[in-house]
Amino acid sequence: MPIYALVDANSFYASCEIAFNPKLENRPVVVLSNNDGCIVAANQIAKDLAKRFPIHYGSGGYQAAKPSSMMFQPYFKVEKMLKRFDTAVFSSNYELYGDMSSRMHRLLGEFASAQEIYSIDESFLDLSGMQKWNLTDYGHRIQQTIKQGLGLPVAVGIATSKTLAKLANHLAKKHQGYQGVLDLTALSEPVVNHLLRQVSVGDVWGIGKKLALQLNEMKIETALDLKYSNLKSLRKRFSVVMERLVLELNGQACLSLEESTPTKQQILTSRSFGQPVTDFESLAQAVASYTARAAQKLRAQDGLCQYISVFIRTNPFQVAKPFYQNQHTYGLVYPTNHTGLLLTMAKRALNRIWQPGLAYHKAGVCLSDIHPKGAMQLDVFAPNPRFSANPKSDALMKVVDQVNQQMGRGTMQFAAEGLRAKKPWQMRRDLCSPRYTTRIDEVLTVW
Amino acid sequence: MDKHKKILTHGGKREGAGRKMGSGKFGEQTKVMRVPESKVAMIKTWLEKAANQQEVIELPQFSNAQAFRPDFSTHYEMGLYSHKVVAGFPSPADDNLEQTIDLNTHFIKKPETTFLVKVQGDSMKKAGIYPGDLLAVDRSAEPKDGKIVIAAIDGEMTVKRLSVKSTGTWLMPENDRYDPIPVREGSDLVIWGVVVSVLRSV
Repeated sequence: MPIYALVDANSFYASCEIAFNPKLENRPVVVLSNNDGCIVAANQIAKDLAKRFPIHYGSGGYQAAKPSSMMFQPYFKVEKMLKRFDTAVFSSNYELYGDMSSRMHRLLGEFASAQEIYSIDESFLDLSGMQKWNLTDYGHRIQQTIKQGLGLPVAVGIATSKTLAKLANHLAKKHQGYQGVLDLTALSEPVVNHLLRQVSVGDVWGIGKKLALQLNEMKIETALDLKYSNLKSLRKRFSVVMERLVLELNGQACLSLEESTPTKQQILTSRSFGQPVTDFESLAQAVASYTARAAQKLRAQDGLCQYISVFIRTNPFQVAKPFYQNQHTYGLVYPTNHTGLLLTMAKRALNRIWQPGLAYHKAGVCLSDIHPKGAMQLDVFAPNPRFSANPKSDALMKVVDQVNQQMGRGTMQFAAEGLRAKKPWQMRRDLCSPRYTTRIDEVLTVW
Repeated sequence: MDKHKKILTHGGKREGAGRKMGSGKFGEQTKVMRVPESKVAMIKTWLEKAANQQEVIELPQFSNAQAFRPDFSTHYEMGLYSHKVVAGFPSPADDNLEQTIDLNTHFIKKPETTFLVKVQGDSMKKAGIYPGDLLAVDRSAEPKDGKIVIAAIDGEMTVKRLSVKSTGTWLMPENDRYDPIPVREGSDLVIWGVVVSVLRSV
């Protein structure tokens, strides 16, 4: 009988900020998305505030946004209310969160024989064979270790399948009484069912908005309804994935841990600009810098790509101005991961779609048709390739990546990405906290 | 009424419909053609280049050239010094080349929970901690009597020596110009971590 735990950090980004700034412990804290646009994390105090002073948010924000909740809503809609209560507001400090995340996952890995890092702040742990222990206590030990070692609060859900573990984790956070740890294996079936009745079907792992609506039509409203629904008719209407989900809710593990991350088939780097960009030079710089970043990610997974697409668009929310978006894709005869070549292609693609006289709001670069770098067919027609299967250019890219890894991102870059001065197209991050753990000149000071 | 002059409203070609001749990316009429699958990417790229009106590149001539796959299954590294001809006395130190000191393993036992902080002020001068020093702080270590700790007092981060006695708990500075800070029941104090190393370049 397998047993899984899902451990995740509570409002991870906000908790990272509080970990280095104890003063924030008793204040509302929110963290904003790129360009300081939407709220992506909020501590409990801020969430409770938003509950006490409900606003109807209407449409907008992220896809995950609900009109009734502050999460993922554009910041300007809540700004006044939050300011009134002395809320600490931060831009996303990805360097800090990334480092704290890897520390947390490494610590969690020590608690189990196997671990699946599911997202920046979630890990599945394999606790199979530990049934004879009190797993609730074990969960609290995990919690205690992360809290003391990193200052981050985590919740632990334990069950016989990954889907149930995820649900247990959800419930552990929802009910004060569990203190952030819930072991479903310690409860009897009727008690578990009682808990499942309190979870709406849309909160079950793997059920999105659309599926939830379809299930609701079939009178399946809670996790419990889904657990006891008819397998056959579900499989007919949906798929084997849904069938698996129902089995998982019944405590049968169908999903095992995925210990290695699957390599990406597509790498997309896109950003909205800090301010609208009108001149070609700045746009080309932004596209070049996204290209370089994507190429670096590609090399990190040891892949080669066959296609590069560039897209640009103006601001869709500016009703007064015409909306323009366009994209262009180039294929390569020989797949590559060389930044130099990809930059050339990207610029060429941008040239084709750029229209003068517009204010661009967002650009992106997508590398696709990615395959692993293995033995490559040599080019019969180009005996001395510049970019593909050329050990010299591979070595150059290796050095660039190493330097940037050791000395910080952007230490060594292609001139096409623009010089180091503050670029107008760069993300707005006016409220960024120091990168406490990754930059020696930004570490915490103590007196 | 002449039936034959009736304008057709169904079927047939509508005047002015469809894409204009020569408005495609090649600026001329195009034609469907079957090509070997393995050559599609190459021909596409050639066409792209042609469409961009760059220098027209020659389509490669297919001779009977054979494509071959290089063998990457073996791996051989040549040592940097293995072929250096040494004239004179062989170095007796060669045998011990492998041993180096990694400072991290000595000064940072638990990298996951260790953070660097910078010191301001001279309240810990007598303990050998000066302004500008970097401290390695392990948050997982247990704060005990006599340890130097980082504490948050009312949210302010400070480095002091922890003194836990039967008479009470104190945060002790190591400098006579500063007063000990009593830790009372209900005072807002959190021990943030324990100092494990002092790092300073001289």
